[in-house]
Amino acid sequence: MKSIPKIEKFGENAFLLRWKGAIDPSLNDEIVRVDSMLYTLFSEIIVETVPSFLEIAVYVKPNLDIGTLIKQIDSAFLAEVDTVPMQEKFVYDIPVCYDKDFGLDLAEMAKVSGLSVKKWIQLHTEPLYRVYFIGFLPGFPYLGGLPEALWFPRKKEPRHLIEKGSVGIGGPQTGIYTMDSPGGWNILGRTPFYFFDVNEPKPTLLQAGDYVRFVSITKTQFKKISIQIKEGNYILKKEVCHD
Amino acid sequence: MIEVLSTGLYTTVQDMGRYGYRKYGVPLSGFMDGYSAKLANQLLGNPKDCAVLEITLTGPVLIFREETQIVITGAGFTPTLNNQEIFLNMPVEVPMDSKLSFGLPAYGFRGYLAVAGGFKLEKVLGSCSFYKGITKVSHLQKGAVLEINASGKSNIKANASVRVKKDHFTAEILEVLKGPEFEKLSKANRHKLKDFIFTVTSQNNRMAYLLEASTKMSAKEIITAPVQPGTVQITPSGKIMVLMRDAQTTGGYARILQLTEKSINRLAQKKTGDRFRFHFL
Repeated sequence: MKSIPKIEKFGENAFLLRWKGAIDPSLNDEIVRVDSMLYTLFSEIIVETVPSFLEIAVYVKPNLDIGTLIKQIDSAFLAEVDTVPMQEKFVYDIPVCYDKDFGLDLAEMAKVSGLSVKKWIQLHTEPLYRVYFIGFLPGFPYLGGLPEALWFPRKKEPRHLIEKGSVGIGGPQTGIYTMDSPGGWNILGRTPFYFFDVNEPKPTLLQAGDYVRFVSITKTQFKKISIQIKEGNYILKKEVCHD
Repeated sequence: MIEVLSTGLYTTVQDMGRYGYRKYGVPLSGFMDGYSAKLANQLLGNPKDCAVLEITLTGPVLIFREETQIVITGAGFTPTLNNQEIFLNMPVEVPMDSKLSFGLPAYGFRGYLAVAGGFKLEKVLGSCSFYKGITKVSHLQKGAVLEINASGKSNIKANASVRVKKDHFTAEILEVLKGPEFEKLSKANRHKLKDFIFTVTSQNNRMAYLLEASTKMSAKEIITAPVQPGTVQITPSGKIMVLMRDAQTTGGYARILQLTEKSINRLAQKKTGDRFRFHFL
């Protein structure tokens, strides 16, 4: 184990595992492993967990003595965590149309930054972005790895509606709006794919630890893929990730 | 079945909420005031997680097209059944084709209507609780029809009723625990949190209550981290808000306090202009 998290009470029926440090892929690996280990070791008492950049919230059944629990967990995972195998991770290729009809702010972002629209698309589609965790909206992935040249402040006045599938940038982060939502991020494109389905047992496609890559598509391809998705004929390209 | 003649200000179906999906970004949802909602189910002999109607400030008008029993709990509404006033906090027999109205609450903000057997609704991700984007509707629609589960043999105790503590609605003290960023506040600000009076602003809903404080303080943003109902956040510009049942699962503002379950239930009964203080446990 790289570093030992502090364990602190978080309200009456929860506690937090808190790591020191910065947003970091190897720490995220560890958080993903600890998260799955918690379910294995303490399935009896855990209701659910929420991992994030530097913390895991552990929500437990009511009326447990959180103080005693914290002590148990402390010693348990020190002994066990290195034996937990990493879950299988995937790299997904996400089609994104950067046309001005979808990338509402891209022209403005290009103008302000001094980079061309073409350069923006090139830089945005280059990296492998790590999915750190899911939060903010159902299915919304917090992605890490946005090139510094593309960091861009949030809008002063948030939009009342950002359409599902919109791909945006907020400060040093990029992400996909997985539902219609108000929001303050600048929007540079849209994916026809959807990432949240209440009919699935795991309603989100992306899981903490996965990677995504954005692939630029034309408007014609966007329409074609939209139809394929509707008909259930579209398969998102994915490969197993070997870090 | 029950027909919705008019909806009231903001009426939703709620149960215990959507547990097990927060790591997928799905809010918990569920009864804002769990104490009152569970009481309604209990008085009818329903399972405690049965779906009920949550009524906000003004109630709906409902027509019952079948005979049933109901219990209304929570805020001090003056409900009428076929223009006859009925009691809160005890089972009421509802004949076929009855019309139920609510009036305005004399105290509190949210009322709960439970029917014997519970409302028959599709569960989405383990819960009937309305939430935009998860369930088909986000609040009750005019003209909607609500089906009732066959309750089988009624467990209702003939004259079961309870005295509800007025405190639940009027207490001006909310119990809190320290939040993850509490220690990052200056000593002076930590003291202020204990002493000052907070007022509920008009920006209050199932997601969060924005408060106005008799003092100014602020805190730096944090690296996005888990939040839950009852988390008190403070923004860099000095806004203080309490997250409620429909809160996001993670957030980027400093988490200075955490309300107890009892306090969340009590805050859910407060409305614009109501004042309170925090009491540290």
